[in-house]
Amino acid sequence: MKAPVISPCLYQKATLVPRSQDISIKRKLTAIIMIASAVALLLVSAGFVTYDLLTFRKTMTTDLSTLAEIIGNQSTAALTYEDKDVAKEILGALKAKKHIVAAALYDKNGQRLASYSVNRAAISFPIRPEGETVRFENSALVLFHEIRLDGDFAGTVYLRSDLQAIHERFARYAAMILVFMAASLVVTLFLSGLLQGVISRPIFHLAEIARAVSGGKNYSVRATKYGGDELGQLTDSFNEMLGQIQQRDADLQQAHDKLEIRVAERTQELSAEIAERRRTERELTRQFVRLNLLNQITQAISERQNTDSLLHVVLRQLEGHLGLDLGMVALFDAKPHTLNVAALSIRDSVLAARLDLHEGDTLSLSETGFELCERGQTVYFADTVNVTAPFTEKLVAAGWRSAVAVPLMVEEKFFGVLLSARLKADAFNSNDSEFLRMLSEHVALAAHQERLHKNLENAYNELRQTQATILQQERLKALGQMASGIAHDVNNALSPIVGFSEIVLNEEYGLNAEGKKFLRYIRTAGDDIAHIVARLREFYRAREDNEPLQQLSLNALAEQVIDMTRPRWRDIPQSKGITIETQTDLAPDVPTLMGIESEIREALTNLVLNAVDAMPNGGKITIRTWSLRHETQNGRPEQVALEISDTGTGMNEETRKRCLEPFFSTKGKRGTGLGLAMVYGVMERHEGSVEIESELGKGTTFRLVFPVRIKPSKNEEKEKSLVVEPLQILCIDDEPLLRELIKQILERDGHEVEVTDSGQSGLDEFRIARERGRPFDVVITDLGMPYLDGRQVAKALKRESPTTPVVMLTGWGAFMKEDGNTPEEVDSVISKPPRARELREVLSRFHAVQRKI
Amino acid sequence: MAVTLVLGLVFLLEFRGLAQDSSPTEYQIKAAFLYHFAQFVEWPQRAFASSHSPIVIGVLGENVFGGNLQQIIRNKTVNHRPFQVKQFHAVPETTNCQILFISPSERRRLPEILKRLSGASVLTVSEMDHFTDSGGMINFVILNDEVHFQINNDAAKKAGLQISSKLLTLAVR
Repeated sequence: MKAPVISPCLYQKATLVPRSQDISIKRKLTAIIMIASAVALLLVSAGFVTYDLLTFRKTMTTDLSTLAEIIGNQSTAALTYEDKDVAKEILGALKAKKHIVAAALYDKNGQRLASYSVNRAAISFPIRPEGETVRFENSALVLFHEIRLDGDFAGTVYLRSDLQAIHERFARYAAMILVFMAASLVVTLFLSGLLQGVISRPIFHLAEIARAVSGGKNYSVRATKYGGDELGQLTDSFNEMLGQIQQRDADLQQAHDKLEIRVAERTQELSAEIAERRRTERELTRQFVRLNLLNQITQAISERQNTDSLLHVVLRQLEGHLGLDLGMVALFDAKPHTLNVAALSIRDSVLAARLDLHEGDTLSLSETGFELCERGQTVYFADTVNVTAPFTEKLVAAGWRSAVAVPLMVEEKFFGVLLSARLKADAFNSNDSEFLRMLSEHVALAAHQERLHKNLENAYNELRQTQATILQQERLKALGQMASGIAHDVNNALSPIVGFSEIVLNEEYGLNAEGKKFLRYIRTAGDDIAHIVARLREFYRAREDNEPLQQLSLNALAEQVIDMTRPRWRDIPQSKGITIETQTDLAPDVPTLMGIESEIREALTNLVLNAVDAMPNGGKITIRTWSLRHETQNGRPEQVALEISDTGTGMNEETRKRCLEPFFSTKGKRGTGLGLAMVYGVMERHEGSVEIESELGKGTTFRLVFPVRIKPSKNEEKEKSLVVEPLQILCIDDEPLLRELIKQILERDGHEVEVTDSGQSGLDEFRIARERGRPFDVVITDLGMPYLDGRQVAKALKRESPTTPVVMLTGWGAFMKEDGNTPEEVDSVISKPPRARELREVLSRFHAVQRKI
Repeated sequence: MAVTLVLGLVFLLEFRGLAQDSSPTEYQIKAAFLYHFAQFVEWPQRAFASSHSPIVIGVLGENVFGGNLQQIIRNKTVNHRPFQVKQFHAVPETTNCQILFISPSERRRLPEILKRLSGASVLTVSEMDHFTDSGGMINFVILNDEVHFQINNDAAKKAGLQISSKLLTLAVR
């Protein structure tokens, strides 16, 4: 009955504590028997002890009740007669009962008459007796017993017994059980040792046989049967199984042998097949690799715009995939009939050193032995030893024995060679050649495309540069126009101040010395303003015909400027502890050129001062001059250059682009923004150009390029005599002050002056005078007027009287001429503010003209 | 003579009806003692006319108890026997009782009384010196203000009375 219960138990345990599985069956059996016996013994003992203890308690209670009864009976008289001594005496008899720890007698009124205790101090007696009671409490048995005498309540006995008896009994039992258990377990162990063999021996035997079978693979052994029980059946089954296995083992061996033979046969067949397949596969792989290579190269080509990197990629791929020892692309140059090594790839660095060929080297096509390539043919040197060309000999010397040169052709035009070489002789087959040929077409196409692209890019860059230059010029022109506009207005406003000051100073009008002095100040100040405005205009002023051009030497000017500016670049910085050096590098053969010396000097001075300003921590200024000889036809230089460089702070791109604009300044309040604009203006007037190179932190270089031959101007001799006959003059100006000024100046020279305030009224005056028979000799008209402007007036006048000179008065004077929009009808232009001398000069010219007529 | 507080408390409830005084008097105590003696003494069968005959407490001479004795025995029984109190004046009457209290007033007639009672199963009780020596059975004495008694068991045995050992242990010498 027990076995099926225990085995799952053990199994469960085994899963929890894996180690218990490993304990031998013998031990397990012993343990089972021992545990079962011990548990049974324990259960029986526990039951027995419990029963006994319960019975003992009951007995104890009964005994105590009896004792109470006896004591009660004995003490009736004492209680009745309240005799404490006697009562005490009676209780004293309890000494014999050692479990009674306390006792007391209460009279019928509940008063304690006498008490007894083993340990007087420790016991507290109940104050009032209880009714008939027996109970266990706090490790004691307590009893109250009512005493009756002839049916009357006479008092109460109180008894308290400790449980020592029970405890002693229990202890005795425990000791006894322990001894019995130990003894019986020893006996059980002995018996189980004898008995478990019945089960364990056959099992051990089976296990041993199984081990022998599995270890030695000997299926012929059989287990001995010990009996007909389940173990016996197990042994039978085990033996039967062994028999079956033995049979199958034999069968298996037989089948295995057969199979081995068949496998050997099949293997032979298969290996032949596999070899065949491998061959095919290798071929396919090679094809695939090539295709892939071609694809990769094509892809690389499509990704790269740069011929160099493209060629390198091609060579690298070729070297890797085709196993080349040398790859080279050389581009053909038709004129010298050479090949230029554009890309070279050599696998072995030692060989590379031996060959001594580098990218960028030039080879003569005829020396390479690739001449046939030029005609679009592939050249194959099966063994380079047999070829007699300098280049192939070089290859041989370095160790290459076979090579293929494929032409790169675009649109039937030869432009390069793709050379592949291997160390072994005869190392290329027709497949390789075919592939290289195919590849070369791609490469050629790509290279050609790249070349086209580069051309396009260059064209685009040029176009962009031109556009930028034009933009810059447009910008400067617009700024010049604006500057001129401002100059015009300022001049208009300035004219009366200067003019009238002059008149008053000349005529004196009874001014005292101080008044004159002040008036002179005013005039001087006006002159200064005129000068400033003039400088503003300088920037875009065209060279005037009558300006004196001189033969001048740039070298001399450069020396001069350095001397003149010495205080600024040496003395002042030195006083601050800064050192600025100057250096000149002047070419002695620089030819003289035609120009306005003062202007160029000022321009150079400006540039030197700018250089000084750009070097707050000191540095070096270099002035160079040289002739530009290129594209000369007669050997004489056409252009002369002068360069002023500093080692200062430099300019950023933005500043460099804009520094020539008027009013553009990086010097804050110190700069007018007109210096470089003036330089630009000067160079424009000299038909030269300004080039600026600058790098932040490195310095700036201004390069002025002058043409040597400047158009000679019609430099007529000026008339020195400015005395003019009195003339009839019509002056048209909408500004009354200016009108009055001109009238005053001219009348002072003895001319007869008529003034009108508008174009229309001027024309009317002119007609009236003609009808009267006293026509005007000269008409001076303002240009900018409302309704009818100076130009229209001049046209109308010329229609009526073509011979009458018309003088245009304008703040845009210089500008009009340059623009080419000086009206034909106008004979002369005078810029504002009109100066007496200028007016006289012009009038004297007409006078002379008229004389001639 | 005053009695102790202890005794007084013991009999307090019994004498509440008798006296207004809360502490019992000496004779109240002695009356109670008399009653209780009946509980610890066994009389021979012949002492009673029948099994239901009352226990007669006789008082010879001056009734020192007054009404106290009557009060005590009212409704009391011992061995199913009720009590009866009789006042004797002449010695010959005294044999018709089970307990005889001989008043101190009869001191001079004591030998005559005892002689008359010899052979009769009567428990003689008194309160005079040398009573037990003179052949009396129980004698009240006052010790330390408490009521005690002396017992002459030989006399009792002679009269065929069996006094409980419990009572004997209480007796003083």
